[in-house]
Amino acid sequence: MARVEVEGLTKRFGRVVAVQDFSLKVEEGELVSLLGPSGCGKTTVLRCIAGFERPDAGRIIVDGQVLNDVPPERRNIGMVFQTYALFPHMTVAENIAFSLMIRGRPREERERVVKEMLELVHLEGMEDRYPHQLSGGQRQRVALARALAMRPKVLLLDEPLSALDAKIREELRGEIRRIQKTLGITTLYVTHDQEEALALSDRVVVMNMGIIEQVGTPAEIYNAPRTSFVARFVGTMNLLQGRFESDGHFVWKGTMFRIRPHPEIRGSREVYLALRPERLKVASLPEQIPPDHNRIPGRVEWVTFLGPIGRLTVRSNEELLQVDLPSDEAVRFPIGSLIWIHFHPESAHLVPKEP
Amino acid sequence: MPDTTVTAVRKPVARWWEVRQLTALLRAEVLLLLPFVVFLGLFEVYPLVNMGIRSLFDQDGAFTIQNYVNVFTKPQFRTAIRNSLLFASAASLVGGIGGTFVAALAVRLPPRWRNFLLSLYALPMTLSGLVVAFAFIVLLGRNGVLNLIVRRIFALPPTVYFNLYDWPGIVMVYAFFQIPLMTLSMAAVFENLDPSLIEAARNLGARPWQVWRYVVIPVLLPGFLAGMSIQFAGMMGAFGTVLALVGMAKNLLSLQIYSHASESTYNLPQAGALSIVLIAITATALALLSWGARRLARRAA
Repeated sequence: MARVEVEGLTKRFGRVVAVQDFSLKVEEGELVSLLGPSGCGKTTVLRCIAGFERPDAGRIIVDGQVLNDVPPERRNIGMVFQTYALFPHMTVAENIAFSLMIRGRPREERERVVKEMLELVHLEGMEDRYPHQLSGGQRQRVALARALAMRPKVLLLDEPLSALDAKIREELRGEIRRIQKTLGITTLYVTHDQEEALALSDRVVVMNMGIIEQVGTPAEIYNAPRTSFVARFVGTMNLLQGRFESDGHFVWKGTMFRIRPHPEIRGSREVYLALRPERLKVASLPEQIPPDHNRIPGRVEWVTFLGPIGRLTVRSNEELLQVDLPSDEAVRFPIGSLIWIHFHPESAHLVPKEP
Repeated sequence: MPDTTVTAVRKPVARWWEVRQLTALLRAEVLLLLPFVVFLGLFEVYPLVNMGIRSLFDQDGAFTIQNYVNVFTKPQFRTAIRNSLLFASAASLVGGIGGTFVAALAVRLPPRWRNFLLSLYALPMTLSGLVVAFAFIVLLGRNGVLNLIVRRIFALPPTVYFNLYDWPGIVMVYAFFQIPLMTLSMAAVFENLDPSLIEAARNLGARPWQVWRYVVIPVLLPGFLAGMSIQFAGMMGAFGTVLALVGMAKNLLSLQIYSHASESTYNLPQAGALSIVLIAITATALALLSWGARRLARRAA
């Protein structure tokens, strides 16, 4: 198992800067996700680590060894591709044993590893199938087994679930986590799916336009986004643009809110107040609101049924806010009803406004 | 309360005018096919059957299989079969390998350039074989421009020249058709090669030559064999350009057929038997190639 360090990585394609001054340390056995919209540079970082792209600046270090000048075939880093990239002319067993065949390992060892790997990914008995005889989920399991067969120091996964159906995606997501934990392998996972990143990772790196927006545990990323980009990209968020006053209040369109202080925000300045829909409550009369709660009057514009929850879209001060309530509660507020949104000061989070 | 008594499931029944429209449409489509069927019958099926039957009778109209016995016993025919097989194989290989090479280079170009160059490159295929033969005679004939220039530069005697009229020369002229043809089929095959297959192989420890040996070549092979089938079939029947170049000086199956169908050696039943054998050889070779390609393609699907 290995430690991965990326130091000041920069990569340009022509005049486009794909990744700028990217630095990250991944501890042994850790699973770190690179999360961001397409074109944010997350895949480029992964491809630099695998050796398919040459960094313009910065260093890739695995276990203290600088890999910049090592060709991909000598890095011993496993990779799983979005398109599976299974060799179509080889059986499942031949695909999995490819790295061992290339290294000239004896047949008994290859057969033993294939068996082990198929057990690990729950595809026992599929040795002689060809890739086209497998479902998408099975193909990705084979790809994972193939990448792990040579006992790589590091595992890289490039949007491995994007081509799969929602149901299979969720199932395989759990499998990947289980296998990663079992082997304790240091893993970098690229995805544009924030839910996937939160569900899988020890830490998440949120990227946008080639730079890191925030690094943190899933809970930190979700509960305390550091930038408005992270707040908007991860989960659903109401962002109220207003003013932080030096007395510690937040003022939004003439209404004053009591809030929890933010270590980096002092003095009077423009900020965002981030409110998760599920942290908001709704009352039909102001008397029902606890005295220490902040309150916003509004009118229900739309109700979306989402199974366990109902999402109210509420118009207030010419802006639309989302509120999630348990389904049975949501039906008590039909479209058009006048309501009060209220929340505890601890439920809101200040986000600095970029200049 | 919803009324449950009246509503019954009504079977969709085609009305008389709908049926008529449908059959009218079908009839119209069959009519559109008719010229093709007539054409096929008159110019392909009828001559083939006729030729097959006539090859079984001698010139006086008595039934015989002597024409077929001749094909496999007379030295001139046996040489012709051997030459045709060798020539078609050589020309297909030159075209196949050359075309694959050009296609591999072409797919690396930016798409606009690639498409422009490929269309330009396909131009030779539209030219008449006679025109191409003449062009090569002017360039590379005994006193062709290129031979003259090379002799002048190196001060060589007039007995030294590139011989366009021997097998290597003939194969080279046909490469002029065959390479572009193969390039077009292989360009599509290369474009369909998923680049992440190559990356996956390198990631798993394969050095560049091993990537070719174990991944790229096996994946491309079905498409290559399909392209080779087209090459081989074309070359078994090669006729116009070679006739223009060397006349009857070379012994090919196609030239033998021509000679027995029109020259002083006129013997239509014999020409028919030779043609049937030519078709049989080509069909067998194609069946073998496509069997191989299908076996490989089934894995690649």
